[in-house]
Amino acid sequence: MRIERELMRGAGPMAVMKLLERGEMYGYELVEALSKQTDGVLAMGQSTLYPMLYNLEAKKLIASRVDETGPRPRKYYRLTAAGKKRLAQDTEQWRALMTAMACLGVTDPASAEGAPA
Amino acid sequence: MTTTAPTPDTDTLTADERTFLQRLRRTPLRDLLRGRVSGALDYRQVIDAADLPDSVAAVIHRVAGRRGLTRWERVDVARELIAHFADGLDAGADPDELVAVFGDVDAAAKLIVRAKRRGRSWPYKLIARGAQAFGVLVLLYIVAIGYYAMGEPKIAVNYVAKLNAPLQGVPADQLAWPEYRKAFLAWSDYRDAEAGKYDDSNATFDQALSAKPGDEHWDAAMAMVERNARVIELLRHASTRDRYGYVMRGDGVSPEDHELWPDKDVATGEDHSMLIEVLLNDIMPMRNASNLLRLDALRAARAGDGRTVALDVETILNMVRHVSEPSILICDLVGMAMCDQALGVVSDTLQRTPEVLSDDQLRRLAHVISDRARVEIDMTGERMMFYDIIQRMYTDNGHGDGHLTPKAMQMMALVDALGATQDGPRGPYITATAAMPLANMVVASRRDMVDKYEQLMGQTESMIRRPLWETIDDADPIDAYVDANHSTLERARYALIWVLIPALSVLDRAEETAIGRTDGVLVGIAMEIYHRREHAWPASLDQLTPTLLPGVPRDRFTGRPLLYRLVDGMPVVYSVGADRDDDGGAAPADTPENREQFGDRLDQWASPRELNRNEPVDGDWVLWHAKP
Repeated sequence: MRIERELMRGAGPMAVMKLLERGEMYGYELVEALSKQTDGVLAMGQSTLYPMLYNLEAKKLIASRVDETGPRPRKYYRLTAAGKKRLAQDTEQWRALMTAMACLGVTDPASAEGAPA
Repeated sequence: MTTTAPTPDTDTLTADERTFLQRLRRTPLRDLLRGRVSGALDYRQVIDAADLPDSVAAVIHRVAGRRGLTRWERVDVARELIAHFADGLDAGADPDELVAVFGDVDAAAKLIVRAKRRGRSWPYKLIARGAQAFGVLVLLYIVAIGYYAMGEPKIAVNYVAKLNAPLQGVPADQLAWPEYRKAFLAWSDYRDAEAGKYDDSNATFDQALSAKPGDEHWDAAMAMVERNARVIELLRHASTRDRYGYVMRGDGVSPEDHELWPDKDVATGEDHSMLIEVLLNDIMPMRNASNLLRLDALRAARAGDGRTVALDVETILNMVRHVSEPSILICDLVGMAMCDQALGVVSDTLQRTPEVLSDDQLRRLAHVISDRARVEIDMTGERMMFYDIIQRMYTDNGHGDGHLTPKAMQMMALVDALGATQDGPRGPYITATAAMPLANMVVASRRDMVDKYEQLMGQTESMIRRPLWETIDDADPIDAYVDANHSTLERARYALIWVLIPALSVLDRAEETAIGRTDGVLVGIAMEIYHRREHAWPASLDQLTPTLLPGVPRDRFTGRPLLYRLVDGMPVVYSVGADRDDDGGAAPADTPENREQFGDRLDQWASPRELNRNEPVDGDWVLWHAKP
């Protein structure tokens, strides 16, 4: 199932930041992780991912470094302190949204409780 | 039919095919400093080096090559996408599948450009904005150049014709110039001097003309007078005509005058010259002729020929009336100088050989001097010159305003403004055109320039029309304005005015000196007649009025009656002079110190304005004194 573009616009950055919360990752890793960990629901092409990464970087929510030790230069992204703060805020908002949706019967109350912490 | 060879597309060139210059432009400074032309900022080179399948490389080319990214950003994006696709290929994905999964390439490129721009540092943004603003300014400047280049001055008034207009319709037999021309044509000394062929081992032409009785060139001067008796007769005849009649031109001389000045171009028809270019060829021969008559009068005085003295003086004063007839300041100043020559003859004769002049001749001279020896400064021609230049420098919007045109910058050479020389045009027309917007920002508009000129000219004229004693403590309007506006920009704004407006200090000294000298000679004549009648000098100047003088002339510095005293039994008539202090009729001491500070003004005076507010010389201005 593919998520509509408007919904993806809000969820995508948060999903990327959530993945980077665990540690730094490079672009291909992020694409793969998003696809596998969300059963393809939040899978996004590079045409979406890389503009999103550059935007988050421009907003200082993530930072990057180039690792040239491997066979090819690779750009790793990590969450910044500002990114962590924003992620926490966004998580709170998502939780409230899911609760509200559950109240309306849009989502399962159990899934609302299981919203990302 | 011709065919055009295809132009190489740099996007399709390999790294080896790119020119050295192309690689040089795309080499980071640090590589250049290391002596390497790496071309590391060439994203195409980076993509080529990755050796990816063509379909994948094409996607990266399209994204990284999107307009709006810096070279650094292109390389950064290219490297990241290369790594991404290489990871996919390493994972066993099909290139076409990877391309399909990538998504909309153009949308991605657009979003990447937007995101990259957002992420740029503020110094970069500042510089970029500055560069953009500069670019806009340059563009506006270029547009302004176009606007100003299209402006053409409109020459609405032919001021040369306007200046000559008063001569239109005057009967030929009333014009003096044709008669003067005959005199100058007959004056072989003058014509030889003009041609550089004057040959007199005792004195040059100028030395002979300016000789004074008893000096080393006096004999040469007398010889010149003797050989030019015919010329003097012609001058006397010409001076009796009502009108002067010299037609001023800027493009050459009339065919009639060409015989007199064969080196000048012959010009006919309407003259479209600038008024400031008008050739005043007549001034020097008229002044020289005045000197010839002065010499003749001095000779006659020593020969006891009072009639000739009176006749020569009257002739000079008639010539003064003629030469100052055109409304041009320089003509007035030359007229004043000629007037001074006539007054000098009378003064010298009264002091040395008063007996040669009969009472009737003295009375006649007094009448002629009081009638004709006053040259009033006329600024009409100065105004015409200014307005003529304005109409040739500025456009005319029909409402009294306009902007400078490229021709204005070239014309600045003529008026010597802004440091240009008079050797030729200020610069190429294209340079002048390029400078137009800047010049129009600095230099006043037509209306502002005219308004400021009228304001300062009006003040200057007002001061000249008032007697010296009323204005002597007032600053020159030009100096006052410059003192009050120290900014160089403000001065540059009205540079044209500073060049064209006459200096008040020069004008008031010339005019007031002439008035004072005339007053002195008139008192001298009255004094001589009184002395003949009473066999004694008057006790006061009041005794001369009203029979010999209508009133005691005023001291130009104080407004009070001229001072008078007997020194060793001889009368001295004087003004208190520029220091406005009565020194008992003693002229300034002729000391090296005074000479150094006041130059040749010792025998006259220099106004505080002229001396730039320094203290004037100590001593009185002696206007007339009798000699034992």
